[in-house]
Amino acid sequence: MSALRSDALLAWAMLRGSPRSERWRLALTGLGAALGTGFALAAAVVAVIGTRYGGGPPSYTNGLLNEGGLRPGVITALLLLIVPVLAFVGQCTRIGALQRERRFAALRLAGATPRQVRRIGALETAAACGVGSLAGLTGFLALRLVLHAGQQAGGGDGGPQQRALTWPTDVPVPWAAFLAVVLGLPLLATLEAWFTLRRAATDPLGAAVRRRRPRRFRRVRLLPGPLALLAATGLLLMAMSRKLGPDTPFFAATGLVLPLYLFGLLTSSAGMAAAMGRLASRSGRPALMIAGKRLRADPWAASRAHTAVMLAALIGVGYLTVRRVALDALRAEPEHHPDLAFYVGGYNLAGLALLIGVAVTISGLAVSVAESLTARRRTLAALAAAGTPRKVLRRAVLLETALPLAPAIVLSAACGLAVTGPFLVARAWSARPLLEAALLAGGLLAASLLATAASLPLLRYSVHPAQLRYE
Amino acid sequence: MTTPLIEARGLVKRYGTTDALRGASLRLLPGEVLAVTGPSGSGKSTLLHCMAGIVRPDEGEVRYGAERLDQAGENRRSTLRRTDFGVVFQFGQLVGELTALDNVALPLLLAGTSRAAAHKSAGTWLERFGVLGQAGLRPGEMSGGQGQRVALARAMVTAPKAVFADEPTGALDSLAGEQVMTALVHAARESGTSVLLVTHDAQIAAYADREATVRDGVVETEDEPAAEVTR
Repeated sequence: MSALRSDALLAWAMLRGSPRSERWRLALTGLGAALGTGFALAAAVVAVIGTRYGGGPPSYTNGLLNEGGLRPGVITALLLLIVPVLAFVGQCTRIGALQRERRFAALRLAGATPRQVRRIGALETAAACGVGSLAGLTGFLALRLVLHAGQQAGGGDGGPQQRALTWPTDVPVPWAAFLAVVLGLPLLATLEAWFTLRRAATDPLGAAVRRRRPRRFRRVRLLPGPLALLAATGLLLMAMSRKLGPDTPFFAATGLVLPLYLFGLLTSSAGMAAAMGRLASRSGRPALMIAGKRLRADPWAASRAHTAVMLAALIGVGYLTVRRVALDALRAEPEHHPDLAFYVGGYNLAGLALLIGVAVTISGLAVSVAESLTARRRTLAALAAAGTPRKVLRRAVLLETALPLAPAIVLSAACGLAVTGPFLVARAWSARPLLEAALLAGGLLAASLLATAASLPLLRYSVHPAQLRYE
Repeated sequence: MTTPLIEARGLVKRYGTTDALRGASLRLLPGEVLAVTGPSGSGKSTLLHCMAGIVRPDEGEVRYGAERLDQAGENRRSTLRRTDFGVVFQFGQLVGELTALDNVALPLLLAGTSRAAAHKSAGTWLERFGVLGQAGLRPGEMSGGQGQRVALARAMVTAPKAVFADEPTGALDSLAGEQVMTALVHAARESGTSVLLVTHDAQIAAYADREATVRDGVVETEDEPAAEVTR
């Protein structure tokens, strides 16, 4: 216990003396924790609707909250939103990574064991997440009060006896749920930090060596991705041609295909970056060449942020297809489905959740680009000092995002269309939402470029000649 | 013959395809200041890293008393760095986020010493090295010479058996370098601490009792120990 206290004191002392990049990292980590807390608490509120904790029978304007069978879907959607938030928090841990690595190495030189260093790093994250989680709780309670007051003033949609509320502010949330969320989320983020710090905390010489040996890019590591994508497509084609039998459980096949596609995309992003880098580095255009050489040198650099965007494209296109097919079916038989608005509302809500997830993902990408510009400042300053115009460097940074992401998004969108194939065939609909899928892919790429452009002002600081003078 | 405090025998260390050490052997005697000199890339820093237990040699052995450092685990070697050994480099060994006082107290805090006791010891050593006035400053706010003296205070705060100094004056001007070396040798002689000093500067090597020369990964020459090391 005294060791933990001693480590906590050291973490606090370092936090007080931390530079601006470190404070940004902690603030963004706290923001991620606040968002996650909000989503988890919202899920907890929906979970207690209609239970003995949730007061009387539910009566809300949104049918999804009234139907006991649909509420688990709402809860799942809200909990799934925590996934991009955790990815965002993970991305934030990369900010100031070089400086942190040096700090950890200095601690190791002073006699800290790898475990101690990881504990100190995880404690920093725990503190930031704890504060963020408390802020999220405060924000949630404040929003709940405001919404409740608004609903009381508005009088709801029904009569005085049975008023239908828009938001479930009448549901008392058990304290156990509050505690579980406020303590559980920082714990989850701390465990993530503990896991991600396993490499950063091992080398006591990191403080004194000027340059690390670059990570070798092994082509053999590229194989699993394309193999998984090929296997998934093969399985899909077999399922769709009913070669697996007349009663092929298409959705079971899809259950295999989707994880394979996810795995394939996750492991392909660095390979695509390397391939695009190889092509671009042969170009005679300076910006394209700089971007290409950078991608070739370190194709893993942005793969985590790019993977999240790829997943957003896959899930987004899948959602658009399912939405279109399902709503078309309902509209085809209006006499059997008088409550079309209810389903549209449900799909819109799912779409909103997806949009929030995409926004968090794109923010993660912006953080990743900003971190990369700060970490590479000596290289960028050397390029500027050698006469590379800043305009060229700006273009190169944008191309570093666009080159690997454009084909990756197209591939992910294609996987999204493919994975819903059996669903379409089963219902004999051939029309796929190609236009919507193309718009979504284009929108994601544009948003990614905007996020990159938002980080470009940092370039002015990164290319300053002073970056070359100091270690 | 004096029993060495630390003895390296036949050390081999490779970084990729580069042989940093190719069978280097060296003895550090109790209470002596030993300078290891040699041209850049000769392997003198790697030899220091191996003898301090910072890195493990690929072959050969490092004996510290009855203990084999080359076989000791990561945790044991870390513990030795905060109890028996002190380390000073050319730059980078201080934690930029901590004040000079916290930096000096760091090995004690990591060992679980109370904050008050650790700060008291740290203050004493800062005073001995003439940088108590900088106790509240962070490394970025100090001059190079002040920073190195803080690093020396940290290396000495645990009353170590040996201090490993790798080009401790490499980033300083000659006057600041002399001040740092005088402070280091004086403190080491007072407390009976051995110093392994890596340098390529003959003037700095002159502070040592003995000198060893490393070339192409082997110890080419090593002065014989004096009958009695002056304390």
